[in-house]
Amino acid sequence: MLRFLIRRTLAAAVILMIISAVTFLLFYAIPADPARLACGKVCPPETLAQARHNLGIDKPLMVQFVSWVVAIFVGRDYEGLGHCPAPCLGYSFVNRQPVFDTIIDRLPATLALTVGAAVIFLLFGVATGVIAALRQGKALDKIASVSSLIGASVQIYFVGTLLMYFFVYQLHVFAQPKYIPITEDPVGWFSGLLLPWIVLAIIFTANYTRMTRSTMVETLSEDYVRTARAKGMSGASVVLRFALRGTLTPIVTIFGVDLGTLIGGAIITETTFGLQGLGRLSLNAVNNSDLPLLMAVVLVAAAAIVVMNVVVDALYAVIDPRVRLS
Amino acid sequence: MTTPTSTAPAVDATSVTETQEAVGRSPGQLMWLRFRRDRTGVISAIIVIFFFLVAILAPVIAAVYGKNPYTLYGQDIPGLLNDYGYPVAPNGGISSEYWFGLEPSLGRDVFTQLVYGIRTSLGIAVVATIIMTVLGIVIGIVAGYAGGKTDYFVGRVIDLTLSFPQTLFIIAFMPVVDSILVASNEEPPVWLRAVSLTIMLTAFGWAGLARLLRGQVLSLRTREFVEAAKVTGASPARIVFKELLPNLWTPILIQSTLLLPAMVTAEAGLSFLGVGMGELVPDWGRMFLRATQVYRNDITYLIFPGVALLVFVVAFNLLGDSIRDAFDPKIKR
Amino acid sequence: MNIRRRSAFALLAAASMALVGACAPGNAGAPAGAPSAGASSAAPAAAPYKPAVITLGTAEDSKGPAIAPEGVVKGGTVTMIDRDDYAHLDPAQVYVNTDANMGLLLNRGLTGYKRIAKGEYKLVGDLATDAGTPSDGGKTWTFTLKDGVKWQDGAPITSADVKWTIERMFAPFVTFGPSYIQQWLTEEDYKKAYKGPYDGKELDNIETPDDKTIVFKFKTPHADANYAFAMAGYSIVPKAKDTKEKYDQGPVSSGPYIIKSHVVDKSYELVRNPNWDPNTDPIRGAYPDVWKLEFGQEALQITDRLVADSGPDQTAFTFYAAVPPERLQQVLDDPNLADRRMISPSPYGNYYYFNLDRVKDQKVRQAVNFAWPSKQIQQTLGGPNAAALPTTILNENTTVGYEPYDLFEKTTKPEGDIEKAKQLLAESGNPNPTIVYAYNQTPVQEQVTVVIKNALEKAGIKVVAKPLDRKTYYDSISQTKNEFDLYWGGWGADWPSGSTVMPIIFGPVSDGGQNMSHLNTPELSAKMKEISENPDIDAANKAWMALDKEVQEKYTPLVVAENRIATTLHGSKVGGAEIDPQQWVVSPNTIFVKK
Repeated sequence: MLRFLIRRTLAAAVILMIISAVTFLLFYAIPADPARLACGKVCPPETLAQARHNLGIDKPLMVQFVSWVVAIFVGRDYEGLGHCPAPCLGYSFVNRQPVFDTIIDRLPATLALTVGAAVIFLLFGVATGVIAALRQGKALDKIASVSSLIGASVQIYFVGTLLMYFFVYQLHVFAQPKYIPITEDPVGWFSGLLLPWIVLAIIFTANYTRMTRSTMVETLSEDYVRTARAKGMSGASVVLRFALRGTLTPIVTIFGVDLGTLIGGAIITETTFGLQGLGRLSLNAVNNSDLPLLMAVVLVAAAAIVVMNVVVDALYAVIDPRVRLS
Repeated sequence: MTTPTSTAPAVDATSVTETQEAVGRSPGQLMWLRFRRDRTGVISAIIVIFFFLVAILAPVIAAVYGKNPYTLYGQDIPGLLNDYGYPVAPNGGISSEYWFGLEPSLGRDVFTQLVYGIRTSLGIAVVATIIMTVLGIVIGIVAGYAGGKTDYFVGRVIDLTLSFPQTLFIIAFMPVVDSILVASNEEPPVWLRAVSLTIMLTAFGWAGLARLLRGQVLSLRTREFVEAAKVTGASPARIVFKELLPNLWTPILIQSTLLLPAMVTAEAGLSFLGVGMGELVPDWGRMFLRATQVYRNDITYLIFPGVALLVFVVAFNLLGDSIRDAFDPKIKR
Repeated sequence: MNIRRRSAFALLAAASMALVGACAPGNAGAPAGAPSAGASSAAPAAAPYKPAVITLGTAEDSKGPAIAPEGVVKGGTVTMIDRDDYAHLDPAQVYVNTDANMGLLLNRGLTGYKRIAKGEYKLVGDLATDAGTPSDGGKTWTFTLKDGVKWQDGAPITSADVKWTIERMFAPFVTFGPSYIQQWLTEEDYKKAYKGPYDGKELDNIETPDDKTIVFKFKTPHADANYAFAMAGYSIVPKAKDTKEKYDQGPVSSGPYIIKSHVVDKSYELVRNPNWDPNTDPIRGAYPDVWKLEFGQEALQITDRLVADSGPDQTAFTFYAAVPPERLQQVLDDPNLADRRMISPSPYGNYYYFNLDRVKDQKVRQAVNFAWPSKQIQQTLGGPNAAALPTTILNENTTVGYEPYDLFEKTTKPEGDIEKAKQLLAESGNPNPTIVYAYNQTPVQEQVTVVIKNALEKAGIKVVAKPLDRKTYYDSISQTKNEFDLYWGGWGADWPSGSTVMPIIFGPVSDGGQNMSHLNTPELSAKMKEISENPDIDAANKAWMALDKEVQEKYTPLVVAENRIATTLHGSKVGGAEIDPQQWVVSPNTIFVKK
């Protein structure tokens, strides 16, 4: 098990390394000159050259990349600007501070948004899936299936905006979406995120309902379950002991992937609801040509996806020992 | 993933057909028969065909309707928009003259914007889907069939592609792709963004299909009929085209019917984030962008593209499911 | 003055709109039950706007404390929400109005603007005992520092600090701030003439005979130098605590507050500076005990929060985030918001410049002016409540002695006179010219471009629309050899005088410079020099206004662009909120928190 984990982690590290190399290379192609932006409106050539030197962008690409990677582990000094302690993911010349601090500052909003929504859609999805499976073909099953299908086809910016229009501004049922740290005001934290959670849940629940339902139906028709039932095991314990367990593997898989993509790609959700998380941060970075920040956000987002993949693999291995052999 | 709405009748019908008329039916015919009996599938297909027809016939529709998506009706004709730029008539300015109302501020006709918008969105989505499917097929088959180092390498590239935060990446690189395609001192043509969007969507979209096909080929490769072909000295080309491909059409078709609506929504999403088509090209995504700005005063302008996109995606997803069911009823779990 | 007329028109329009609304119930164009309420509430919104009056104050005016707004309450915590964090904290790097506004909380300068009443301001001494004494025909300026002015650590503010402040602005790393004083002290390329005080060299023509007195000796007369010293860029920096580039991360406070914490791009917390004495400060009221500044939200979300006015947002306001066009109708039609709205037109000049090197025929330039769809652009930006349609180069809000004129019939035909344009084009010999219009690729500008293209093409002008990347927009259009015919550019007066506008937008033509029309004739330059050096400020102001009209008649180097009107909201428990007419941001000086 340990060896399996080490192997997967190493593979993930390599993938992250390649992603950062590719990103670095591509960002090099972006036409904006960060030195020009850092220099200002009255920018004599000497000052511009100095800015280039301070930013380290007068060196060859390879050297720049290596010093960027090294800085992650040991930190780096930017002449005339300040020190960027490890883990130094870069130094933003727009914000004049290490990008790591900015990211750490925004991460909680994205995590709260994502994890909160994930809890809702996981519980709700599995529950409706179980009900649908137990009542196959009945009205409830059909309603669950149809609504989950529509939910999966819906766009956040459409439904999110529509719900805001009716429930926030017309009926005043929900609070205006915003992020307040839970440490400051737990009630405000909850009510501010409730609508975004619900909208994400509408969209993501569908997958879990479908997946749970189909796996449950399959498991329930297995011989051993029938036997257990025939021997007088109660419905509830059948569901809990066999059927739910069977659904674990596929659910864990898609859950891991969804969580990773959500953390990495909350741009549309955060834009729709005006939440200040990593998604908005990355959009701002794009608009400000803040390449060091953008680069770091890409890396963090990729890391979220890759790490979730490793976690899924690990969980997989726990649930089903056969996986480890392959 | 199944469409439970159609489950019960479809299965029954199929089994009846197969027992009664067990002779002389090709798989294609069987599929068609099963599909025809799937009412949800047929309705979805009609809706999807309707959308495509609208896209193709957009100029004809506009001509009959007597408006175009480019004229600023609300600005040229006084009394249509109020001082703030919102339609004066109720419900976003809906009238017998402007069926779906007027766009706030610029005062263009929403109906023709929507009709022409399908063209843009579907055009980009179809082209991207085709390129992606071809790429996915080639890469998936090559990796699966060649095996060994090639397979390992392709597998890692697929992993890598899937690990990229796609939306973020596309937003960051759209300007780069633009500048590569057209030198900065030239007038950027209207098609520029469409091409850039297609390229970016394709760059990240092929991997899923390739991974799936690779898996399929891997399992097919060891099957008896392929082994037999190899033993009889069939060329790799023959094996790929005559033995493997025919067995892959089903997953390919199913996957690409699911890819297409995903591309339509991806394109709309990018436009919503501000990296889509320019103001001069009618586009659904940009309608969303504008609609989410003005919705407090003109919710109608959000409803039309929203409902249109929703209907299209639901219909296409249902169609995808139905096609899957029709091809292989056993997939139903 | 024409703003007032237009506002009355807006009121009429709003009233007629309400009528239309009342006839068609369920009007989605104006939902939220607005119609009937609209007419009555539109009245305060359309109350005539008076351009600010700015006069010179006396030594008595320069004494603290500041004049308190009605019902003032001291203490409490106020929250300010805005989109962007401040780019610069080092005063020497501050030019932008939002940065300057933040500077009012932290830094003081030699002079500043004291609010006497709404729309009435006086230039007074801030750290200085009065607004300075000119001698030698305006070439020499003497200031005396007040007693009891201190840095946040309790050290006294001395004339050496003031001298240092100006000297360090010559240093190579200072590239963003204003350059008037430096230019006047050295006259040539000031960055070459002197490299700053860090290598031990001093500027001889700034003299400090004692700790309280500072004397500036300019090479030419500058009757308005005391206005220049009021710019935030000339706020002072302590000689002993200067950290060069790093000073941009946080200044040593001479103002009423010090920075307690700062999370870049997200928040500030400001607390009282114990060493700031209100009795020395005629400008800053500094009523709240704590300031919380919050960044990162778009104007749309900020507006929604302030409209909702719930809980902690009741004590919130915004410096700069004006109500965006898409919320304007809702905000202006809501009678409940009447006493929480602030409205002020922009103090800037906005122009669509012709590139005179490419559009050589004045008839074509006049034709474009006549065909210009001012009203349609105004509608795209949100209507008469969102943008005014000026007809002059100088802005009425920042021009003492403003005189309106209207050469292109924009007051009577704001939608453009296509026939007249066609006629002029026919006379020009090229009835179908091509105009390459370069624009900043933002969503709003894309829409405006559609409108411009639509209108000019009706007059037979072919428009090639060239989108420019928003990061490099200004760089591209300020290249002298650019390949565009028409582009938007803005310039704001640095103090209320044509001398900070005309000699700049029609000044030397250089790459990256501000003369974007490339209009530069010896005749015009000579005239501007003459007016600039006129020691009689009133006569100079009159002359600037006359020159404004003459330039448009003789050369037509630009189309006067629409002038944005900011509508800004504040929470119900915020008092004293007012938009500063010169800076176009809500002034922090009068803000207080109601009980």
